[in-house]
Amino acid sequence: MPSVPFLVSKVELHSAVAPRSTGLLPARTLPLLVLGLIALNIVSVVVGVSIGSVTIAPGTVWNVVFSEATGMDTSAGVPNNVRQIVWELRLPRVLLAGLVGAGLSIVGVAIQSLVRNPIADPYVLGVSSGASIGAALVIIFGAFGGLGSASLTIAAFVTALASMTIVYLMALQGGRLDPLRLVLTGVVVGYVASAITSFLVFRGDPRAAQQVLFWLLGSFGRARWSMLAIPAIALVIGLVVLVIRSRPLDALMSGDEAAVTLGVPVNRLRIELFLLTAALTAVMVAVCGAVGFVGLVIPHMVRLIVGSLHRRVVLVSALLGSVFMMWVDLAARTIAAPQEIPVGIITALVGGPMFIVLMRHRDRRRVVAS
Amino acid sequence: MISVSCVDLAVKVGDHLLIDGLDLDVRPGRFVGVVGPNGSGKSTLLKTIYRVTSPARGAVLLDGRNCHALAPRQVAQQLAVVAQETPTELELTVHEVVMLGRLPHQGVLARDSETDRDAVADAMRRTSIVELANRSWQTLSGGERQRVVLARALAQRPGVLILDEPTNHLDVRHQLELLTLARELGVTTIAALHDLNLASEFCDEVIVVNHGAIVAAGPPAEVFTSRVLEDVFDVQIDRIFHPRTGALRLLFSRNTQPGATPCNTEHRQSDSPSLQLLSSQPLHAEATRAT
Repeated sequence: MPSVPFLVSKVELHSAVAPRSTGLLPARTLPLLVLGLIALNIVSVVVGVSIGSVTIAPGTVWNVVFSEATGMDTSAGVPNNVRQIVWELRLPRVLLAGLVGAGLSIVGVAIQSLVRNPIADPYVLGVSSGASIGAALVIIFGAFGGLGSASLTIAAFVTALASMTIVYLMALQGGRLDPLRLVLTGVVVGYVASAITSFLVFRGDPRAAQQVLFWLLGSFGRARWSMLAIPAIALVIGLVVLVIRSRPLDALMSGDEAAVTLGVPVNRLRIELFLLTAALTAVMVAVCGAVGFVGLVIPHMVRLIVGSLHRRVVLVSALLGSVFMMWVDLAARTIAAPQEIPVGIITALVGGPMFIVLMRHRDRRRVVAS
Repeated sequence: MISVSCVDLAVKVGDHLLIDGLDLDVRPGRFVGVVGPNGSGKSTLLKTIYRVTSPARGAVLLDGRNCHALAPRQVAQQLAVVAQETPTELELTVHEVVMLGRLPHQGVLARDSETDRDAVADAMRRTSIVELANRSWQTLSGGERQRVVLARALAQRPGVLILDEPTNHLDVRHQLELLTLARELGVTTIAALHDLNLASEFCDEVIVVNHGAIVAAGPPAEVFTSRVLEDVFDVQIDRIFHPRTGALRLLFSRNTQPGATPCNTEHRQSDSPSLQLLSSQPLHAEATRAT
């Protein structure tokens, strides 16, 4: 790309007036990117709802959603079954995919800063492995049957919280959370929890085993309106906390000691981040299983695009993660229809190459810039 | 400007008492050097002043207020640090790193204000890193990084500056420039320095630390006597004066036979007009304290 060196040198001439980030995108185009992603989210919702076993025209989708949401009758003439598919089945599913994509992405951002490790993802603290115990108990042995259809979600959430508590208590030393200790404890607890799940699967019948595997790889197939409230609230809390803490997180990147000298209460910040990320992960995993790769790759992609300042990374990750997950879910339910492919398979197959391409592009630019 | 005092300071790491009963009083605006051999407790002393290490006993006072009882943010508004270690992996531009210096002055959601941008631009100008503004931290040399960290500290607009081996990665010119700059700021400065000649040139006062205690303190010319330094550093030291500026210079040679006269006496030719040698001054009977 011949335009790249030219662009870089021109910007550097005016470095004092136009600060760049380390990302590919100039900082001043950030508002455009955010607006574009918001628009893309809306488009993705409409497309996601229109496409499926029955294709529904985007106009019809819009009319049904508008009339259901506002109470105004704009969808006269739309058959009842179409109305039902749009409003009862597909819309909650698409929205849940978006919420979870956004949630896992911002958790990934937070956790990579929390343990200061670029290969950390939301599951490094053992939360998802914990959740799988609950899911396996319900799927294989029909445990917690008294809770009805929500039993899977509730059981997964409870065991996720239990493993999170164990990790927290074991990693805490003298009131301090050491990043390395935290990662190691999370990984070890994760292995133990996975072993317990494997044992349960081993004891159960093969059909149930396949169901557990399917759950582990993630699916939005069980989405209902009633399942959206808690992930939505969790996402909003997560966004607010991470935006408020974005500057301290920036400082934390330059090391604990530097952060302390910049007035960041490092230990308190770590504990706060741990509790936030673990709770958010537990909520996301409980509703849709352990969808992998999103929380690892989206934060990195976003850093490549907008640089590493956390306020930008958090907001853009949420928007991009949500778009990404809606399209992944669309692929999951259409590629091999009528059979559904677990979401986790597609996130990795699509996200991996995207990430490599971006990284190579960035490295090329860096060579040019320096 | 802010005064810094340590009162009966003791610092423990594990079971080891790294500093024991240290008293120090740095008056506002003074430039104080901390010298001492490796492992003498210099860095521990500085880390305790800038709150990374907590004292086991005693206190560090900033303008009379116990800095370990203040909120981290309050301390960071008054005290800035150029530490020894800088991160290797940091995906931020130079401008972004320097802007972090404004963190203690910014509200929870505050965007970078005009004051913030001015402080950052000024700090970058003073440290001559303006042309590095958009470079990624990872592409910088060790010396450039050191200047960026100093710029971040300046952007904090501190009343106290703590420098821990600030000249470590710098070439000769940048060593002199950095210390000249730090002096010109006029803020209270405490700097750990390995280079005794730099310490003697730039410091109003120096303190010599050994085994976690101050063994001598005062103006460099008075403290840097052969007896004090030979004892603490276990080398032979000769004092001469710079032929052009007249400043005190120390010459070091290995202490092969304790108590023996230096084997290499070539530089002692006192008929050479440029090299005037001082006889070692008598050791201060007691360790003096900085006033």
